[in-house]
Amino acid sequence: MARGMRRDQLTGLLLVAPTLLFFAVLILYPLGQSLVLSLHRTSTLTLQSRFVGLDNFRVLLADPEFTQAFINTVIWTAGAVVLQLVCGIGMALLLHGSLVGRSLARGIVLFPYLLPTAVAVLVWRWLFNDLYGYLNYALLAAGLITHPLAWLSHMPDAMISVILVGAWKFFPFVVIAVLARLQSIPDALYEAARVDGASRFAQFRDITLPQLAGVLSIVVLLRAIWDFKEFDLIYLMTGGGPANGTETLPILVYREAFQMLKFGRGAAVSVAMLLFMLLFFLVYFRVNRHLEATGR
Amino acid sequence: MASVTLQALRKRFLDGTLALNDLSLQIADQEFVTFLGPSGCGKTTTLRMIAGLDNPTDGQILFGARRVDQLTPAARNIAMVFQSYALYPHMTVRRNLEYPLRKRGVTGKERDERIARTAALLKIEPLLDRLPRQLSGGQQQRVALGRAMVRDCDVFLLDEPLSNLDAELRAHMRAELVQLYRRFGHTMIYVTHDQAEAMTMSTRMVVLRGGELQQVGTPDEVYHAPANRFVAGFVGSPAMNFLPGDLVEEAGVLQVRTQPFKVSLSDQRRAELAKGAPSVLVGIRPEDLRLEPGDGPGRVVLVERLGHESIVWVGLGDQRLCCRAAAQAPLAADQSVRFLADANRVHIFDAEGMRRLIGRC
Amino acid sequence: MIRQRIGLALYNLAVWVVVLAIAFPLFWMLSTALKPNDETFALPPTLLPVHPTLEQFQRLLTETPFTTFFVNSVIVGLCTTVLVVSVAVLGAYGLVRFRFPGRELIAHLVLFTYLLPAVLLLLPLYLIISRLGLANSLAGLVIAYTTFALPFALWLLRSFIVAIPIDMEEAAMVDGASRMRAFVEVVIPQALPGIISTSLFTFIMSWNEYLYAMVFINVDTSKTLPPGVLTMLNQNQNVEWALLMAASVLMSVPVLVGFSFLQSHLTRGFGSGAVKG
Repeated sequence: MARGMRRDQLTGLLLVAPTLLFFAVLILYPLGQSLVLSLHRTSTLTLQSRFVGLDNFRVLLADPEFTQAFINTVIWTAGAVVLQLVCGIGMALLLHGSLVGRSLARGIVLFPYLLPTAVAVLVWRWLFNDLYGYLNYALLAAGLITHPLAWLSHMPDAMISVILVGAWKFFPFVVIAVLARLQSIPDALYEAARVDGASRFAQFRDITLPQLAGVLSIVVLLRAIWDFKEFDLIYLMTGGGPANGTETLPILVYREAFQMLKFGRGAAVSVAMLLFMLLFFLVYFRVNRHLEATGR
Repeated sequence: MASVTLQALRKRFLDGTLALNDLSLQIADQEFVTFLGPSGCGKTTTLRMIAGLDNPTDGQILFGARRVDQLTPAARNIAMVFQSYALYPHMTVRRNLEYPLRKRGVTGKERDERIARTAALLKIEPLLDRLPRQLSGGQQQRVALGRAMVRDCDVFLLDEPLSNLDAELRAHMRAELVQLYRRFGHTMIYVTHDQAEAMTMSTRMVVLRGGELQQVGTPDEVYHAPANRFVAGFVGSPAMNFLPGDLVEEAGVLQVRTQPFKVSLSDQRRAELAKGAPSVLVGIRPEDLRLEPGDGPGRVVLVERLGHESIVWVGLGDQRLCCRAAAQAPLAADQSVRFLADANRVHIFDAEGMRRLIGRC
Repeated sequence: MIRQRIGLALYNLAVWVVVLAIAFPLFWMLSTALKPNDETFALPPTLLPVHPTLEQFQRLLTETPFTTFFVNSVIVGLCTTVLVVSVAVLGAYGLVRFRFPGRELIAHLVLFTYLLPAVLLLLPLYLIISRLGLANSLAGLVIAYTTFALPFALWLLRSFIVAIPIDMEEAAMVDGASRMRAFVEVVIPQALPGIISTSLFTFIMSWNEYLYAMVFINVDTSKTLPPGVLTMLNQNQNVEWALLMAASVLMSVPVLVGFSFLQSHLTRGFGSGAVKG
């Protein structure tokens, strides 16, 4: 091996060294700590911990609150992802046409994604307010409901509300990904299809959809991962209530660890989450590699 | 200025492919050498190793008596024109020209003079304060050339510098590069896949294929005495025709027989013929193959009339031969033709086409 | 021809109705923020303020700790951005341009950590930061924010640096520059748009962060905006929605400013997952 080669490698490693240091100390070490904590039970009084093996996980599996939180997480994730996807694709197709003031329209649609979750939640809680909220007023005026609803204190209304707000806040991600892909489909494809006699619908089915397949699979996976671990939005909307009705796994972790001070159990829930997420990662890497291999 | 010596140069990439196998070459001071070959032949890899952008797996590179293969590109004192031009997009043309001077500590009046001189030479003075993206492709090319010429270097490297220009501009720049070379006499190493560039510009050309050296020689040598079938087919356009043939002794005369024609070798050519099996591969260039209308094995497929000449494609069994003919040659598609070849112009290779068996044509 | 025109007009109308519906919560936020307190309880609610006033903003800035929260958020955002982007520029360049053992592994690790749930690191990070004596300090928060901002910035910057042709660095090296000089003089200027948009995204992520800020900071003087404003929601018996909407508007302004600068690079940032989802 030539000397120049090794010098080059060394420079590369030096450049990456600060990154690696941060990763090791602030991400990998805490990750390991979480794993270790999940195998311990910490006394809430003395904060002394002792090794209990897989006890925390055994307790977890038998705990109906954990099961409930898992189910809630799945409902929230599935609902939010599907809604984001449908609205996102629809909006992208709408914005793709020749629209007056297109970039302003895009800006408006995309903005909620960058809005602080705290702000989104405050605005929506004000809209959802049972006495003075605009939503109840509008629905009553339209005759869709007969009396004001307390959106966030009843099930399943609370879950539906949270999913709606989640869709509003995060669907721009789908819009922009799909829009970018739509723009990269060469016009010549559509022109060729028109020459071949394809109708508008046939063009959508035979050209647009197949071209979008790759980006959609990535978008679904990323959104599923992010929604699965979402804490801020749900916690701030409902705090997990009513009666744990919207308590998802991240909220359970927080409550176990920081409200009940059961560090071990909190860590065990978060490790369980990690296991679920590893599944997502595997699929993600697979899909990504496949897409790269097929050049999309 | 310096000579360049490559000694048993070898490059294996990390993925295991052998990009260059055991290349040894002497390039004299002030020579204009072209590396020619199809993509993936190792020509660009060789150039990058000379520049110091890639490290050889084995072997040595010397500029004059100075060994350079362990030096950084900066320490080698080379200039290079990139295929993409690689102009610094955030710097004006002037700053682009200035950059290599600044890096070498050339300052003040001398720097300004050199920039002015180079700009005048390449006629880019009006462009000096523009950014690269405001220039046309041809202008960018001239700036890239200027950036390489603005300072004194030991070796001048060019990596397919003309391949992004249109045909007309390319022909023009070819002539201009030759003039610049004659004027400054740099040691030039020029990489191209265009045989016309190699033929017209270089003092010597190096033909590579799949990392293996095929032939080194002057354009004249390479054209008239290609070392093997690959070189014979790669250099010259339209490409040489190849036919299986036999060497047969008849009445004291050695005949070269192929399906469409047979020729008798002169004594002088026969003396240059290497001994070998009677089965050979016969090569004949389109301009050395004549067609005669009339009963014969060939059937004209297509006549391309170019104005000053005609290119005629003739079917022979499942093979297709190419001939050059006069502009008004009385030939038409579907016509039957006979072939006549010039005995002094046939190239003879061994049956596999690996080795040339006869002297230059 | 006329039918086409009408079709286009209808399409435009329909799209804009949808767009405005999506923007309604934002409009409602602004409208409420400009109302006096009693008007927020008007039935039926008034779409536009009848007596528009800036008194909510005035109260926010004088009677509440909002300015403290705001300043804290700016400090945390700037420090996080400077720290993360400088580390990530070096790291991304190293990952893109150099071959060394473990390079692929690190690239995968970056993506993995980028997608990691914050709650997973929450507890151990809390313990580390307490042990460092940085609990309740903005510095502790900056450290915690690198855990999601650094992988994000690396990922985003990587995509920008990959797009820079390597020829230019090589030309610079041939021209006599060392590798690091070529990086500073040729790569950085070209990556500048990428560096700027990565910085903006990083700042916005930090600006928006809630969970770490809520857990790590328990004193009002060090609170950042999101948890700070939300404590204002929970403190009072009677929620002052107009005041909260005014706070929301002011919290959104820096994001809006950054957003308008980001328009051209939005796809890239979103595409690799701009903001912590």
